[in-house]
Amino acid sequence: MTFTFSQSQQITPQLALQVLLQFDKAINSALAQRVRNRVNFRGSLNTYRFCDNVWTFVLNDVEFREVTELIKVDKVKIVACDGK
Amino acid sequence: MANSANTNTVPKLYRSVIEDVINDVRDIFLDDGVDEQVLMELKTLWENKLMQSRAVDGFHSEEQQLLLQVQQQHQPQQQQHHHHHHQQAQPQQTVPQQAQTQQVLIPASQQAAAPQVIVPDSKLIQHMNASNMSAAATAATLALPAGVTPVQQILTNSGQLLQVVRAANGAQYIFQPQQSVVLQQQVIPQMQPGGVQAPVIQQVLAPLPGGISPQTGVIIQPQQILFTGNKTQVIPTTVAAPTPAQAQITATGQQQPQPQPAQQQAPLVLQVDGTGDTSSEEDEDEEEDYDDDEEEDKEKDGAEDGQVEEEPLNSEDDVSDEEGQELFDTENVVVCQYDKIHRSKNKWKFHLKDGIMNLNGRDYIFSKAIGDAEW
Repeated sequence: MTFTFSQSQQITPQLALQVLLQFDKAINSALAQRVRNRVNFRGSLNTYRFCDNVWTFVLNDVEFREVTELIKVDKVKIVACDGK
Repeated sequence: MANSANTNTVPKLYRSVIEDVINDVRDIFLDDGVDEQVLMELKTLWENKLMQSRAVDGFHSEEQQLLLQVQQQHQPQQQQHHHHHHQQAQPQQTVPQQAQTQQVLIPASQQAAAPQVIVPDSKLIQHMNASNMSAAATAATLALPAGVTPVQQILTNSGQLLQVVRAANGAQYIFQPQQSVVLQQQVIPQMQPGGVQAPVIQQVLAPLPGGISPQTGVIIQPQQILFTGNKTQVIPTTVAAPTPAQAQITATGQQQPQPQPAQQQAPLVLQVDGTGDTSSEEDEDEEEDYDDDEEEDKEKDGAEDGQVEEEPLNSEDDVSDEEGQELFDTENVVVCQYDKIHRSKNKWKFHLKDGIMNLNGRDYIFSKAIGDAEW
């Protein structure tokens, strides 16, 4: 979206990048501080990949269970960076 | 209200993130000499995109839809007093404090429709009106003050005050306090239910910039940003991942010591060794012992034969799933951090944290996720 703004010359690409970086920080802290819920899931693992300390999984027929609701998907890709 | 927890927390969180980001970048914008108005446009565009994607329901702009509904119920005229409660509002949300933004309907003097048309907003309003009433229910109470004073405020998370002014003819304006500058205008097509609006919106949808696509998986760029505790990486998950996937799959599909591209295009490229090498024995490893000269002579002989034998072999080589499976971009995604990934034989256990999920088009968030899967 910030690139749309860049294209229309309303903000420079540099500025767009700054906004994105700021978003990174904000979403990071928001997730760390403000979100406090837990999810369980179960499914079958189709593929797994661990490269550059990033795990990428593709799961099939997964059920995501939160306290309040249940979500079923045929396929989900999980990308996870190191949390430490 | 089974869905209340998630539909309540996610919009709230996103809203607060938007506020935080906008406020944090405001300084940067001003330093760069960019007008405040652009910042407001950014914010509105952001919110509109979120609404569009339907990844989250019940959002900032949805309060504007409430205004629309109110207007639809009443004649388009200048309204002095209007009080509208949404009974559907869930208990948590009837409390218009804290993180919830409070929007107030204000009559303003009727003005001509503004030239600027912001398409997503129109579409959103149409969409929300037509279908999802429950989303509208998450907004706070609407109230009109006595008199015409445009001092109605939206109290956002960060305490930033915005004013929403809505003319009877449907034009909306957002003011910042202490400035009488109109920051944004949105034109909403005539206030008629469903059917009339639909064709208008379809036409208007056409000139949408190319960056916006109706697919939820693609719209929101910030969601594609991966973060770690220490560093940030921008990974367009649907784009970057497939390329290593392809490279790996082609690598594992090959067992012969040949340039991979060459073997991929079997029909086009003559196989000069391997099964095509008539001089070789059954065990292909032995080829490596041959002299280069010998191979060269026998290449020509074996070339044509190699093609025929090549194809059936090649097609059997590929055991893996179709690569498209990984490339499909509306696939459900989870972007998070991992605490621990464990495996026993073929039983995997996942301990994940701080993640955003997009499942079936909707966004979810978790601070911890634990999962099991069998490979």
